[in-house]
Amino acid sequence: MNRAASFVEMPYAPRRGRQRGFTLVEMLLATLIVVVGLVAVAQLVPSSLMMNANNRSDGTALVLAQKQMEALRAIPLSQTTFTDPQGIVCPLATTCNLGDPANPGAIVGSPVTILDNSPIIDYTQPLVAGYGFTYTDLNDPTGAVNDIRWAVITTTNGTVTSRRIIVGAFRHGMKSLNLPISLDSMVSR
Amino acid sequence: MKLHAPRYTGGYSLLELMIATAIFLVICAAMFGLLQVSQQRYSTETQMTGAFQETRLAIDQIVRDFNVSGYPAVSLFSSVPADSSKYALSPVAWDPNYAVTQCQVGSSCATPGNFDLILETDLGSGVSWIRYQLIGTTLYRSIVPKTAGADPVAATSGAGVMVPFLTNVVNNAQVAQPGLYAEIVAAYPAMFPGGNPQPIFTFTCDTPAGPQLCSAAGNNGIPSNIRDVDIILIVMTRQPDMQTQLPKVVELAGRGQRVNPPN
Repeated sequence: MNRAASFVEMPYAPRRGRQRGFTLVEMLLATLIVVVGLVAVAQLVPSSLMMNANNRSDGTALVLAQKQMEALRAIPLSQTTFTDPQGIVCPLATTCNLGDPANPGAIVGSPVTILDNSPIIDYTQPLVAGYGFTYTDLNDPTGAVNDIRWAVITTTNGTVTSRRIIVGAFRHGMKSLNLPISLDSMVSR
Repeated sequence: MKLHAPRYTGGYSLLELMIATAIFLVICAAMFGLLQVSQQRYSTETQMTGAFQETRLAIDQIVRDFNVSGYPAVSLFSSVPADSSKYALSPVAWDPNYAVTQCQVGSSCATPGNFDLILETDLGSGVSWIRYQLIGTTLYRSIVPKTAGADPVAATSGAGVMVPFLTNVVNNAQVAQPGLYAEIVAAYPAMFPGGNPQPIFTFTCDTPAGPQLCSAAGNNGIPSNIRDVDIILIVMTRQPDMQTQLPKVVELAGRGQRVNPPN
């Protein structure tokens, strides 16, 4: 009885020392497939962390833009400049502007571009003095530079009748790329 | 050949089983370690979210109250009522010498102050005093009806009038919990410039030269000239972070703008 015949005849007989396992190539192949799968899944973790950070930053930018918009809307139509002794909505020791009644119907202030038929602040242009400011919140662990800008369209009929305000907030200087936020509102008498 | 049970049935030996169990236990222990870390992170984040939410609600309430303060103003009456509890004398009430002479915000005023604010407004049931005051690490709030000739501080000082509104406020925890305060200041230096307590209320006054900080506005820095109040609340979590054993802190800022000037 040769070896092959014995293997065929007694498939379940104990054969210590001659067990057939996987070959090295099979193992390598299987490991490779598992590793490829694991790497694919593991890549989701940093991307989800990044998305979370981006969302948080977007939320912060929105709150900053809303805060600025609220402050600008509260300024009477008769007034085209304002100051803030707390330095929150206008930097300390500076005077900020809010449109030009002598130039009605025109966009005054930070340059505006149109995206999807909505006006948004154009952050490719430099900051216009009196219509924006930048600051960094010391409590912000990302160290982002908050860039707040606004533009105003005034309508008049002798006196100022309405004021359309476009506010933008852009947080830059972070590791991830963020897009600016723009808000659009109007005050009329 | 006699039929009998095979001598070797292919089962595991005790040693093999013990080794397998040991490996399994080691892996389990590592997983439980990870689980514990994730539980700690979860609890910390929950605490943070809770503190954030409570603070946000508190700021919203204070801002809303301040925005409607000073109603009805004296200027709304064709003839000023004899009973001074029928109108708001000023959006912000003051002490000492209420209704007689106004004090200077930031110097001679006991209230309004860094941690104390009394608003005067009609919320629908007659003119009331709404007081916010930080005592220790708890911000208290009270509403009492305004009575003619009464003092707003005395009126809100009775037992049980002030009720807890927001807890774990650490703006001025230096006296109440000095050890904790020092730890928080060390961990969050940017929130406490110079290590000093942070005012909850900072007042901006109307002056002929435009808005100025009341404390820097000279004779214009009186309660009836207050136009804006900036609110900063620094609130710590109820339980310390389980990883660092330090309380985590959130800081929220808001601004109230009164729409009813006193005259």
